[in-house]
Amino acid sequence: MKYRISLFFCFLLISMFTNAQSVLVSGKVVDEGGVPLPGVTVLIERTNKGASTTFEGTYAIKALDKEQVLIFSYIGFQTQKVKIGDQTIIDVILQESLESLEEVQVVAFQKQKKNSVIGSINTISPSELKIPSSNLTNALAGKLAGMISYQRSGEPGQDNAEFFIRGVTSFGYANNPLILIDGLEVSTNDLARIEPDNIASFSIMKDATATALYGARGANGVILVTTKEGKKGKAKVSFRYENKFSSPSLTNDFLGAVDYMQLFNRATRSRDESAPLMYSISKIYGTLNGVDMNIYPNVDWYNELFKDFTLNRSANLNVTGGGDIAQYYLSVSHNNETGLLKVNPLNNFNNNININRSNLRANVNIDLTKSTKIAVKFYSLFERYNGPSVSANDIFSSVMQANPANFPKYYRYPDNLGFNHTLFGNKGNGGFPNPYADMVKGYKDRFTNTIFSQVQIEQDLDFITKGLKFRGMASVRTYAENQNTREYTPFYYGMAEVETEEGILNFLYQIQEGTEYLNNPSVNNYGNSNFYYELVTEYNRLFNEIHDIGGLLVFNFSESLNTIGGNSAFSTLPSRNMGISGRLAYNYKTKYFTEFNFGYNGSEKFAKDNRYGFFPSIGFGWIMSNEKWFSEKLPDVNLFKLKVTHGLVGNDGISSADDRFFYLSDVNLNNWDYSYTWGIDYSNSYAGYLIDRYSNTNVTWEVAKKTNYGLEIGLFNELTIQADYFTEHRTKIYMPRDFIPETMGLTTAISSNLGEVKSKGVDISLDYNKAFDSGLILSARANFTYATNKILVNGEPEYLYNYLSRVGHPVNQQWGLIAERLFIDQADINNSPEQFNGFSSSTNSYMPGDIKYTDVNQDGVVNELDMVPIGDPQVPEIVYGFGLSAVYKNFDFSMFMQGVGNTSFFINPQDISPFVNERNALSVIANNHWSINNPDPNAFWPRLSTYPISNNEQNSTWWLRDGDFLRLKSIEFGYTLPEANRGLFNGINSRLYFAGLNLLNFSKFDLWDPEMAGNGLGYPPQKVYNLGMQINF
Amino acid sequence: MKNKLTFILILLIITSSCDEYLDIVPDQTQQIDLLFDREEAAYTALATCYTYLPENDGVYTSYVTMSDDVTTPIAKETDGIKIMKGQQSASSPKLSYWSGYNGQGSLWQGIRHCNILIENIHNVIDMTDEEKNSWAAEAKFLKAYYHFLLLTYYGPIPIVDENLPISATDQQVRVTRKPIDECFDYIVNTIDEAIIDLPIRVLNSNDLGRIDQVIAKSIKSRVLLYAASPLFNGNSEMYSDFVDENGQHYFNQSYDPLKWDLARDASLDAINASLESGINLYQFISAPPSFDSQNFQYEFIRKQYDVKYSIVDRWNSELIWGNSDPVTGNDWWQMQAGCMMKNPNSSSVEAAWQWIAPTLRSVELFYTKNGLPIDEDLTFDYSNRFNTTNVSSLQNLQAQYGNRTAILNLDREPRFYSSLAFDRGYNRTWGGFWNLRMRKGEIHGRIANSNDYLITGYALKKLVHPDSEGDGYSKIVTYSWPMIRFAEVYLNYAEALNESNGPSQEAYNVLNLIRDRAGVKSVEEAWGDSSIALTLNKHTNQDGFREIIHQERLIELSFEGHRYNDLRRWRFAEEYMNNPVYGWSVDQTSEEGYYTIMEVGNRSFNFPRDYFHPISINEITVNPNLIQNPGW
Repeated sequence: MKYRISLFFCFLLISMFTNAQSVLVSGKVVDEGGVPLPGVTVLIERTNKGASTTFEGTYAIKALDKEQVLIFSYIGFQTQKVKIGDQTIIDVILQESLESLEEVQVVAFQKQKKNSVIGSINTISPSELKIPSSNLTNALAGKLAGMISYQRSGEPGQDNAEFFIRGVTSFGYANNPLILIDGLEVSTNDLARIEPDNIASFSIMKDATATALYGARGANGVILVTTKEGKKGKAKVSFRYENKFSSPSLTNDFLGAVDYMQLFNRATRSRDESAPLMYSISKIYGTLNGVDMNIYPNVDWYNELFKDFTLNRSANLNVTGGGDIAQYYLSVSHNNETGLLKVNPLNNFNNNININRSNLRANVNIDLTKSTKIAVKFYSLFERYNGPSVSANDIFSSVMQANPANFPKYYRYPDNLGFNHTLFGNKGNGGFPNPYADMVKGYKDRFTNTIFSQVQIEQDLDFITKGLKFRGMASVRTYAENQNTREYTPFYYGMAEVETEEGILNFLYQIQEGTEYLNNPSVNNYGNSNFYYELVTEYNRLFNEIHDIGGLLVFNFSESLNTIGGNSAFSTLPSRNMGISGRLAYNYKTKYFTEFNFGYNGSEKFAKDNRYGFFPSIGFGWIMSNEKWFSEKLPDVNLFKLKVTHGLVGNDGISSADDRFFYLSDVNLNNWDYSYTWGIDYSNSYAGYLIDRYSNTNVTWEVAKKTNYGLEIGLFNELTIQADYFTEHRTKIYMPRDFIPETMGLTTAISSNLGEVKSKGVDISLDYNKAFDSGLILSARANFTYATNKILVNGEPEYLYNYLSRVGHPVNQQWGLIAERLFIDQADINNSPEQFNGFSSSTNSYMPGDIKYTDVNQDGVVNELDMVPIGDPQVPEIVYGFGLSAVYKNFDFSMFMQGVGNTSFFINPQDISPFVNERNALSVIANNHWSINNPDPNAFWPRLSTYPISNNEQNSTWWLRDGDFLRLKSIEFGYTLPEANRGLFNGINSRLYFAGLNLLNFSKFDLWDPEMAGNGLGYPPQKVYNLGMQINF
Repeated sequence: MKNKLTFILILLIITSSCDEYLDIVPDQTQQIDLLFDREEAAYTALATCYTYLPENDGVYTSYVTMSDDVTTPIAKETDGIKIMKGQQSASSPKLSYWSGYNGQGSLWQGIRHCNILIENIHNVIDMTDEEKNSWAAEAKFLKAYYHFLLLTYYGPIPIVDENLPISATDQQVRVTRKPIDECFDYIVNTIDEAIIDLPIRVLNSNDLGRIDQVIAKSIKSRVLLYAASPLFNGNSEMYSDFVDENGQHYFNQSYDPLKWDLARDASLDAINASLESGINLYQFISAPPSFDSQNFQYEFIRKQYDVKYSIVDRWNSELIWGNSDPVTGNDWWQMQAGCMMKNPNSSSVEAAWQWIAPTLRSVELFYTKNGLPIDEDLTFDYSNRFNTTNVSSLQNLQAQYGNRTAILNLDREPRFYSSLAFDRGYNRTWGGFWNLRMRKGEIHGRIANSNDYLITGYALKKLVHPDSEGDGYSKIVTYSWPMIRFAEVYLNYAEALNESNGPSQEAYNVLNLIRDRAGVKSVEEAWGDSSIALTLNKHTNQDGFREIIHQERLIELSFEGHRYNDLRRWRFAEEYMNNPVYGWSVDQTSEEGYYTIMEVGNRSFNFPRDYFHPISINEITVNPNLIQNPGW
């Protein structure tokens, strides 16, 4: 928007200096396509004199003498200087600037000149977000200083990364940043599905000055995405096609049936020397010899269920262009994403994940009159999902639950015994997990539509006062989902032994009758919509070349319908938010900057008196490098900027979406769980009541007080460094008061705004760009984010032992027992404190080889009072990334490394303990466990058991793992074909490339992909090999 | 200029409607005041007071299995059995009345809801004062009863006579435990206050199950009996060190014999009130099923019907307070589903779980046919009781003539045959009369390796309605679980009489009422006959008579959830609940094999810790003013 101001300025200047004696120069300014450029600034070097091109691109200016130089500058184009000499007509062709966006910065509700921004905002080029994944959120980690991000699952469609701006700074309900696409608040899924090709700018806003205008919703930071708009000129077409091979980054290794059975028997005897053995010698030998797979199955469930790799494709086509009246940007894309699941040849339906997404984006700008502009944006996403009837993530986890020796996935008999169904394997009376049957027994068919449309009108109000502008915007987003799940009931068969005169015979028997047809589908329909309106008045004016004043006033209101789901009274009501925000900015000689921002917002969630929150912020900046003395002394430092901001930001997402209207109590007056019945025949029944929430009119906004100290340095025009140090004090965090005893008789906890968290951290980014004379263009980029926090006030009881308190520890700190080692012998147990009184006298008793814990409080018993903070927080405190890219002639190469630090997680022993319920066993446990023969007090796994040992399943340092990792996140080689300049292919410019994702991993933890942390048995993150092609013409 | 004005105007219009825009909750959402608006709505508040009554008729909520007289296979352990095996823990207490369990809310919530009703019932428009007072009295009684239940399992407890406001400070909510005498006094006084406004006896068929004076007086008799019992009366042996932060003893340290007088008087009062309301010991007066019409000539059989139906007959004349809200909907969660044997003729066996099995200890508890303990009856071959013998023709009402069964199963009192089912005995159920064959491989024995089996070889008939069938949920005949029945009040009276005054004819007479209904000889006849009684005239001294009263109580009230409490209040718990329980070898097919005694589970009782349940660690942490029970 700012360039329009400068444009106006030029007019002003022209009118001031037209009476001087001089040479008259005129001409026309066009772009490379020959399209006239209106509003180009034409300035005479070292003077204040200038002009501006007309709508036809023509200009006229009076210069004092021929030695003067004209400077042609225009937003989005490279500035050109031309010496007048003898010319009186100077026509100029301006080259488009690739770094044009660097000059203006998208900030809240407007764009500012980059150098005048004092808020902490990081912007990256959309090309940085291009990785071989159809999920944009997977690309975020390590790319933006200030963003903490990690990805726990690789399941197509469910693989959103978690991301937080400057870490988790609250333990309240919502920690996630506000995501805005073209000004409209959207969900993480919407962000995930946006095509990097369509992004014009991607920024995160971190401090109070940058986010205060979002008042209510900006406390957790803001992600701001704008999509590309049309540019004047002839149509430019760009087409991209990619083929991706995707395979798990790391898979778990399980025991084969023979090893499994032997170890199972040992586990049985390990706890009870006289216990009968589950697997007979003949069964083990039969399996070893592979006699009959029906009777002696040896199932590698992982391979039975999953393929080694899968193929995904994506294509994107976009066209941009336009004339004087209208400019357009159109994009269509399609991508096809598939899962790793195998399909049963007997089914005629596909139970593998197969997602087809098509999206269309049309952004059209219309110049209605010289001062009135209309922008229309339209976006639709149609997604067709086909997949298993149960969650694919669960299928992955269920490999751990299956048993390799009990039964095959299905019994193979010639002609299938003549039946029209699969003879799925099971055992005994059934009920044992057969993940294959679960996977192939049905499929889920879903389609979803997202439609987004937006219209914006912009009006120059120069006729009222110079520099005044008004715009209004209305956006609607609707989402609809329709899902059908179809399943048949599997037929289960078991193999039984009978003794006959001829010896032991095996016969197949039916355990469970199923259906040979798909049962009626279970249907799930869901939809929601958001409406958003904003009215903006903007004022920008430069007085006397030194006083630059900017003002902004925004009025906005929004409504969301049925975004929550559920059928409670509160969840079905709309959510609404409204507010006024403003900005007042002033800079003196582009050296000294100050800015005041505020947001004044209301939320429907709170009582009338506490409904509105006022969130002001203030900031100062100083571009030292613009001082004369500085540039003289340090000419190599092309930028040196200091900035400091301070302010408040709010958050109304303090509780789950159906827990709103805190000023009302939530009472269920018709609760049949609390009913009672009287009467002779038990028929005089009355429902009871249940208080789900006690009313609290004082509940209000969560408030973050943020301070940011920033430094920007530019060296040799090659290296840019941006560093911020921040602190945040989050108060009024809504949380339950956990210190109310049962004797109060409350049916629910009482919550109030009492929590407080203090955070701090640094984020640094480095950018290096250099073009060598040899033609090599090198750029490097590095980001580092460190964010840590500690709880100051927590609604917790006064613990008898200080270490139980969460106060002073990070929000995501984990507590657990200190495991010393495994018990050596019975005497060791007898001489140690009793662990969890009660277990000692039960079937859960612990034995030598089970975990020994420290009695921290020395009260003679180990229990939850001995749990101390252990390890690092679950959410990493450090996220970093660094990469390099090089272009030489027709070749290009880039790579990016990404890592996290200061994080730990627990292996959940309940998930992987072998043999419990006859489940599978990980090889690592077979190789390294405590036994009489291997009484290693530090073995990976304690004494084996075929049933759960509660003592060993406690959260403790035994199961704590370091979650740090560094991975080769992406790597890319490209080759640009020499441009053909004749015939059919004239002007076509194409590039072939190979890209890889997650190819290498460095970590201390090797059981599974460490990024999955505690969810290691789920759908693993993917390793992707991508072949792509891009064509521009 | 015109544009400017329009713009400002628009802005003004929009901002002025701000407040309405954010008021989106429609009127008439559910608020608590609406409860005390009309009588019909107030029933919701009343139901909520009652809903916290513990479900002793539910398998997983019942205290019945928390005992040494029944057990289950390992795979089917209920929380009660787990506690018996020593798995109670302060980290996550099982069957916790304090913190709630298995879907049952904390009794403190029940108390809060009673107080809410008491505070607000006067707001109701369409009720008379008398009705309001009567409802408030019901809530008051329930409040006292909930305090009593907490006292029974936790000893000294905080008293919550009035609700603390939601806005109470952290310090205010940290209540302290009160000495047990203060707790007992509070409970008794509150019951007394309630009695004034309660109806004498609720007879309206719609209201059965609601509290009346007879119920209140009978429960009061139980409360005072507990207060006088050794666990709570002068227990300096176990609790001399158990003091509050001021050094005051939670348990009174000197025995007060006058407490028995209070129990005696309250019991007599309850007996009189019951009799005036037509309550009596139950007699079966209906026509017997056809298969028993011949047998009904024998008193031995008739007495079994009397005893049996005194429990399972809905709203029978002996029931003082029956549970009118049985575990339904999910009928198979009833205690009787857990006890019920599977009908071998039925293809579906869903509702019969048959895994709650009486242990040998309960088998040995019942009297001989002479009304004497099996080790005190000279005619009973006590030392060979685990051997088998031929069932003689004279014993064919007890077991199958010509078959062999354990000596232990023969020549016992009618209550034995009415309550327990055994191999080669009978079962009158599934619409007929069954000869039981319970060894492995036999028709009523353990099926394959099913986890649903009777691990001791005995089935519990007492709690199963004979018309309940195991082939469908709808065929379970639900009855009103006895919260208190008349026989108990008699037993309370007899015990209190003996403790306060020693043996007396009045006490014998009271006990004989129970014995007569059960079909055994009177105390004097049984113990005064030198040809049968090993310890002649045991009933004539206070200690001997105490033993007799104790055993009578354990037999009569067996499997009704009293044993655990009685053994504790007499301070016998560590004696009974700290050793294994036994049964027959049910996985054996042969007679010798089957009739071999086998350990079927342990019982662990940590003295004195396990006399009371632990308060959860979390609660102690939240409220540092609460002092944990000793040993936990």
